[in-house]
Amino acid sequence: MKVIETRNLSKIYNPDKVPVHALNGVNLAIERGEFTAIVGPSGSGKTTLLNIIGGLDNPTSGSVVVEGTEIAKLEGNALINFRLHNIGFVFQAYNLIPVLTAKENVEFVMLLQTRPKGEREARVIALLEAVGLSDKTDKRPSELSGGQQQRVAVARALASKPKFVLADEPTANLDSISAENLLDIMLKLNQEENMTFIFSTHDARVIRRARRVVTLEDGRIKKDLVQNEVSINF
Amino acid sequence: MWMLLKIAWRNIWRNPTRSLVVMFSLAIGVWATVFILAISDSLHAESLREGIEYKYGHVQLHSRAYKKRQELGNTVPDAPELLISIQEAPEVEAATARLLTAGMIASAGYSSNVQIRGVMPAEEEATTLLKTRLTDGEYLDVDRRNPIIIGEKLMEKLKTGVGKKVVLTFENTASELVSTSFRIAGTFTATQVRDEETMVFVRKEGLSRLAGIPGEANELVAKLKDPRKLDTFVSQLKGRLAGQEIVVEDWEQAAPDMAMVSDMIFQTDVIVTIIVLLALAFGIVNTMLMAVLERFKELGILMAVGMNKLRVFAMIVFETTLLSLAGAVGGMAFGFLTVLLANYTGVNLSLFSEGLSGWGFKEVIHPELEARVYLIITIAVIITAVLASFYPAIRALALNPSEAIRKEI
Repeated sequence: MKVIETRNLSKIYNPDKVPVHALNGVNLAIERGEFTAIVGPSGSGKTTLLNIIGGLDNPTSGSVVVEGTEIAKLEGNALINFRLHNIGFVFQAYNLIPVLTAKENVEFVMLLQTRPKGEREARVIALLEAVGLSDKTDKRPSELSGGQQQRVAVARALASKPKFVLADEPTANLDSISAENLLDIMLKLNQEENMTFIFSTHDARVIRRARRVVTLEDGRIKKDLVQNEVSINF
Repeated sequence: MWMLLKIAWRNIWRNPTRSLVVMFSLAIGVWATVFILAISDSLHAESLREGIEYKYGHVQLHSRAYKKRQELGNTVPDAPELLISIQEAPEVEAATARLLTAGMIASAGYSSNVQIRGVMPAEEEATTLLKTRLTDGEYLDVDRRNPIIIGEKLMEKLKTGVGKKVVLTFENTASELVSTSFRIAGTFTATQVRDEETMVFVRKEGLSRLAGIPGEANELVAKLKDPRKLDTFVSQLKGRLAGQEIVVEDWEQAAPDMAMVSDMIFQTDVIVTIIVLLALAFGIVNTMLMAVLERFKELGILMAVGMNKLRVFAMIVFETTLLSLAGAVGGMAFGFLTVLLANYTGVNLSLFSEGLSGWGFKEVIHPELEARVYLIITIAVIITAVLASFYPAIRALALNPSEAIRKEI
């Protein structure tokens, strides 16, 4: 079942001055439960693609359909609300709310969803346990290592029970052990909860563990490989 | 809501130095406003009390002719009967009648223009503070012929003293000059210097006889039990005396200079408060704008993960309001304690006493501020804080999450 489908997606920055073609007619379909890496050199359009899929940016042309909803047609609070209930985000720089503890950061999106207290508390405990941070619940981001912060970010992304998680270079700021740990956790959640992950990365270790690798170059899909082809090509 | 408040409060303490500077400046602003208003209100209240209790009373009655020309013969029709009926009114604490005229006072070597105020000693004592202002000698109820009370300043000017004789000269109703000797029974002091120099008090009974209009009065003054019933009483009295040649006025109409000072002080209070609040508002806007611009990326993340614009707006407003309230509450508490202390010790304004006394103010005042003024200041600070938060909050709403996330700061 398709969770995301992009149709002839294009994005041009500065169309009136010096146009930069970040995406050139990208057609991509993501099925439920995929663990997909978007790879490519800097400036190939990875972040732009993720931003447009996540409804953080609008395409110049083409469309993104998430389970039947064309998100470019949503505006303002409707779009924010759509993101809240359908998409989980993991950012390269973790981007947790610095004044909230790990537990409060994970709970935050559920509060925005106005979920009942009992459900929130149970899910926060379960998610922090799943990312191996059940002993750090009351620590603020500044008291956690980069790897731990990114694991909290993964727990936060999953807290809202999204249809998929978008992760923009999630291991870029992590050492190799933390990166491996994070990948283990993401893969476990992918397998156990059938959660769809789409992430951009340069990291060869991450690419090797992806089930599907989509390579972008100059805003176009150059290669689209599945798991058994990955090890041969990367 | 609770989470937004929690985030807002914790955000305040992310940069404790900056927040404390803002809180401190807010506290100083509120404290200064409270103290200035307490001083000015107390001066105002004191001036009003002085004017009303010492000279004007709450209500004054004159003949229409007297209001046009303040001449001795323009008396209130049937003054003795009218005075009794006013004294018997349930709202009235005391009332008195006066006979007023301009004249000249002369001692052995000096003379001066004065307003001669013929008063009924017992009734005047019950209605005004004249007797309490005696600084030397005796009151007009002394068992002696033609006693007179003069101000201390006038006594110095005439180079005379208590027990000595002075001559009063004035024009009677037949336009003849009348000169009679009076003996100084006592001296009085007044908060207004010009009153001490220009007013003399004699018995109305003797003055009216000398003027050729025995028993008459050209001014009736009433003091009410409850000044809050002034408007009702004045309108009732006007209704009762409708069609007669009598003008009924409350103290504001009878003493427009006092009313003007009262208005001026109120306007000054408002202007001072507005200036302080404006200064606070700019400080708040500056700080919060800086806080918002610094957190552009974070606000973008909040919007990306699903925080809608209303919540982002509310969070900034909460943060600003909490920051302002913390400073305002501190300033209010400090202001309250300062006013309490100043009320106990008194504030000596002797440096400005010459100017102040001209307006009827005392040298040492004991400031106090009504509870409702504290409430008004609190509400004004909250409104200012909320309004000041709008601009930074609107700037926050204008951000694009994807651009904000890309920002490096």
